[in-house]
Amino acid sequence: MKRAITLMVSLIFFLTIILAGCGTSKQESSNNVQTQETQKQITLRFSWWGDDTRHQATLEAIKLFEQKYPNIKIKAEYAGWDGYLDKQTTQIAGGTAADIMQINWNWLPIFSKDGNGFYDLNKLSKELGLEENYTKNILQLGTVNGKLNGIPVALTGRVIYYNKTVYDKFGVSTFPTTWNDLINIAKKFDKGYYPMILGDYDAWLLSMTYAIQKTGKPFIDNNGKLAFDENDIKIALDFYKKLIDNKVTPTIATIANEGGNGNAPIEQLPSFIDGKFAGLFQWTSAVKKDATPLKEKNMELALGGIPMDSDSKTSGAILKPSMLFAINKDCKYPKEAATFLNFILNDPEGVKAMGLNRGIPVSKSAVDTLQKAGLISGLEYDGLKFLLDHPSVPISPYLEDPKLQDVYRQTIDQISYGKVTVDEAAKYMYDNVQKVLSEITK
Amino acid sequence: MEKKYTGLLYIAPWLVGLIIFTIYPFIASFILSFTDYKIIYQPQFIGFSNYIKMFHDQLFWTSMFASFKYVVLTVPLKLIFALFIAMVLNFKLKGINFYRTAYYVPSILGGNVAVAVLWRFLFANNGLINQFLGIFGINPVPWFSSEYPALFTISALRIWEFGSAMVIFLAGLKDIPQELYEAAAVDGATPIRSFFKITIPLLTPIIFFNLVMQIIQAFQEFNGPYLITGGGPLYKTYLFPLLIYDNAFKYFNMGYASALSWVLFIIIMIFTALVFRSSRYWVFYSDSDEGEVK
Repeated sequence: MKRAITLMVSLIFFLTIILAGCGTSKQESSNNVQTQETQKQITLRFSWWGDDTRHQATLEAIKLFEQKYPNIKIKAEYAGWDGYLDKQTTQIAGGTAADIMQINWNWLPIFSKDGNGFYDLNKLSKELGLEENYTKNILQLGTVNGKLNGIPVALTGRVIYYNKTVYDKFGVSTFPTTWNDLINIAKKFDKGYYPMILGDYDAWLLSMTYAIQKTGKPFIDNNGKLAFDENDIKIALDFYKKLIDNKVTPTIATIANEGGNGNAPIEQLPSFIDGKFAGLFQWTSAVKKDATPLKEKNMELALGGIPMDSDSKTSGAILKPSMLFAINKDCKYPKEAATFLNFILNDPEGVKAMGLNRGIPVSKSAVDTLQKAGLISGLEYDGLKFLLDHPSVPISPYLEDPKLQDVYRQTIDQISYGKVTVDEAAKYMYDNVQKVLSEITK
Repeated sequence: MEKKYTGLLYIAPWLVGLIIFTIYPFIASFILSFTDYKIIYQPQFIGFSNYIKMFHDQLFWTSMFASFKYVVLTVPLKLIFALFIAMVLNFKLKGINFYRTAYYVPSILGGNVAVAVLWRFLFANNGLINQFLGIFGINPVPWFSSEYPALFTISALRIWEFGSAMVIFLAGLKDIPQELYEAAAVDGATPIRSFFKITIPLLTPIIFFNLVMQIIQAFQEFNGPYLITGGGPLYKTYLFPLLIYDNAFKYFNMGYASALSWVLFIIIMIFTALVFRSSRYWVFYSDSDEGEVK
């Protein structure tokens, strides 16, 4: 009996310890690694999110790496995207995060405000082949406070893709190159058909792009301050109002009616699959899933790019790393971790195994390898090429802060539902973006 | 001595669960509600700031208002509906047990994510409901994309899960002595009159119980609005638990989210207490001398 009680008490105690925080378990586990493994054998943990094809490709690359470097073992920790940030946050807070991590770009300000949240990869420049493979501008995207926190794996940006089949049907043979043309072609479309679908978040990003072109200013500057003034925001929102008034895009209510606007993804909306919403403002890295259902219906999605008027000061292109690889700041073997990253990012053998599952890589040698293999082409590549050919003002990682996203969405919704005038909406947005930015950059 | 602990050992699985999943979070959230806690940094004690912040948080009032509207809309409708079905199922029909089971099924599925997704399809623009209305020449209703029907669509999901309330009503109805109805009928009471003068008064303890349970559940409603409307359009279905969720898991303001949870807890407490207080005026227990059957 006594034993049973002891067992129960210790069980509760044990569970409480787990709950009370795993702050100490990090050290324990790395001690284990040291004692269990023989002299030079090293184990590194590598965590990422993704779908099954990404998992398989990455596991294959790990296998090849372990064959090449038999003294380093890579322990894979992978999951889907849903809830990944929660898990990552808990792990970083508890000091149990993996040695090598795949991170999202907008996590940099969350986890590493001063640049000390991750290992400074500049110290491993040689092992990572930074100079040969990455431009300064690219590395700047992963740098916080002069410290290279993560290597951009691939880039992604927003461009317009359009349903060529439907455009052809209404006598529009090429995608308009100016905003006025875009508004004019809407008149050629039958009732119920729209040149593009813009959910509230997409609508804001496109309108912001328009306003950046007109003003030449970034929306949020490098220090996390709002660079737009109320009038600049008004330029963007006026533009959105014009888009819905001229039926370039359906109202938010129409989109929500189909179950869309943030609840169901665009590629699942009946009107999109039927070609009634005949275009979208999408991340280059995500366009594949929109093209697939259209292809099944014998419709073709093509690159539309971003329209520009002759007085545009810049392209307004939104281009950012789709993800980065970072090394844990407490990693015991940073050199070995860098060796691994170099293998999957730059080494032809590793690059081939990884394929295009994380998007089109930015590393020069990786691009060479994949180009030789004839793997780089298609909508994503076309979109990226367009964005790289049309550089713009820098984009802030704060742009996609979840709380700011809610402010944008709320503003666009209010206009679309006709609840406020554009002036009121601009004031609402200006005040609230300021408020949120001061909270999150504190 | 040993005997004393044996019992404890038997309930240990439950006890461990209670401590870990109820008592620990309960205490922790109370403490965290006085802190600024962003998960990756240590919690900072900030006194009552989180509670003060609410008064200036526009969304706090918006979501509070939405939640109250939701409760006022959902609870009475659901109780009436559950009672109605229970009355129907109280008749001695052939295969009645099958129907009783069938009507209970939605409650089992109720909290399910799949059902919320199904709801989204049913009420979509070209969904089954609108197609059905189309047969009668009614134009498609924007069930969850325009401001006014949206809250109703969310409520309907809850009301449809009337099963547990219905089963309790059914048990209550079975407890009402048949002689009362017979006596009333002899005295010439119509069925409607017996319903209001016999059924309802004798059922008040059950109504009371169901009312309390439903109010608590309705204040905590999360799945429906989260999955069907995402709180939209224009925050019309942005119920209070969604605000808590967003602050906790979208903005990572755990301290503020904890404070909001405690406010919700207190609101539910107040309403439960109010219902209990008022019960002495309208709840009749047939076997006590306090209340009497009128």
